[in-house]
Amino acid sequence: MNSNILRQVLRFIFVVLLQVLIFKQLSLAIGGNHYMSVIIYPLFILFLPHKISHSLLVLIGFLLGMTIDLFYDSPGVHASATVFMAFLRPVALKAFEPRGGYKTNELPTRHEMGINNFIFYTATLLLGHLIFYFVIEAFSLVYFIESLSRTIVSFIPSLVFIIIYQYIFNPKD
Amino acid sequence: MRNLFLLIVRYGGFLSFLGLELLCFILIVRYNNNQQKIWVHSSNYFSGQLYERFDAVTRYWNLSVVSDSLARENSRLRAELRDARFQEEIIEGSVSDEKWQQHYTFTTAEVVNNSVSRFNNYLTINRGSRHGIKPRQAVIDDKGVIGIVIRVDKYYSSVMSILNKESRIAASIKRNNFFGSVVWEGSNPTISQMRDVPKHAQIAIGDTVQTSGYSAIFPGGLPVGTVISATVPPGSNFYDIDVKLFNDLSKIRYVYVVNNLLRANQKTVEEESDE
Repeated sequence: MNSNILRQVLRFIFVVLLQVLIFKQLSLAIGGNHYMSVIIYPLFILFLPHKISHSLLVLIGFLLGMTIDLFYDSPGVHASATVFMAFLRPVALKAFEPRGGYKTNELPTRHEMGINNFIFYTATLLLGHLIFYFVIEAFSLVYFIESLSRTIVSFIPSLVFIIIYQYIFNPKD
Repeated sequence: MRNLFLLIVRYGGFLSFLGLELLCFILIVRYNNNQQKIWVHSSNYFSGQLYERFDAVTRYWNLSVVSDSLARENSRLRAELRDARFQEEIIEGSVSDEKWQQHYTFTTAEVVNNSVSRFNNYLTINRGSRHGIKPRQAVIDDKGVIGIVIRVDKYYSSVMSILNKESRIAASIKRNNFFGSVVWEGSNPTISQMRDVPKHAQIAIGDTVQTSGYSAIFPGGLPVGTVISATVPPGSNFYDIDVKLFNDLSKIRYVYVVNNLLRANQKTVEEESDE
């Protein structure tokens, strides 16, 4: 149990470093003025164990978002989006449950869910996160169309990188 | 107690979601410049709307006072009409409109928010950039000066009242034209102080103080108040003058915003001579 927690803490640090050291720079290099941001850190929430309680999940979402905000200099913006996403996770897990339910009480992976369900699960939550993030960033529904276009532009590379991450760190095939 | 506990277990995710989102929202508004600006701007918009609604209800109570003030204003304006004056020029046969180029124009406005009890008092009026209001225009009513426009939105403007520690009005004594500036020390909303009047000036209790027009904001000759005490502190070269204001700023409603058409000209020539 303890080694499990330690593993998650290390994963947390790793994901944060990956986001701020590599993907933040990458976003700046290709997107310029924050128009396109590659956002992969939600994968930490996506791949947490099944049995984690809902409120703990939301709290971890807040901590993760605030940590990212420290590096993006935007207190609360990433945090609110991540909290929102963490809140939705049980709903999405239920929606994309494989036939026969989840067998293990380990992490949700592509092996367990099937690759289609896994991609839909990731895409739904990521989309929720990005829409919320860009709306909060604009802080007004007046610019909803613009926020939506930013979401779509950022969504595709983010999704691709999250799936690549899953293939690299869970290579059971 | 047990029920409360069950409630928390059952909706814990939702409750922590709500709590944390609220916390994030507070953080966003406090520490992010852009979002803060949008928040302040839109809340100002809504509070402006709210004040106006509230005002629409309460204005009935002082309609009689308002109509009195309007009637007085009308009579004063009638007295200034050409028809109300004897035109000596007609006898000479030379009326020239060129001699009376327009210097000031006036925009009527209604006060929708006001305060007199703070150190720095501001008013809000329901005219803005849409109606040609610009910062640094004067605001007056029939009894005298009220303040200076400092911020302009599309529909509303914020006016720094003369009851504001930042405000300075160029003023003079009507009887002998000694000039100084009227400031407010933040205690009594009916009394202002006049500064920078040299001690060789002859000042009597009851003298009228009016605007001097030197600042290019207020037209000259607007009434400000009457002198109620004038002393020269030991060792000073200037008077300390207390001025009882004509205008009760806690009761104003209809005001005029003054646009000085020649302000740019005056400023240009003054800046050139400063260099």
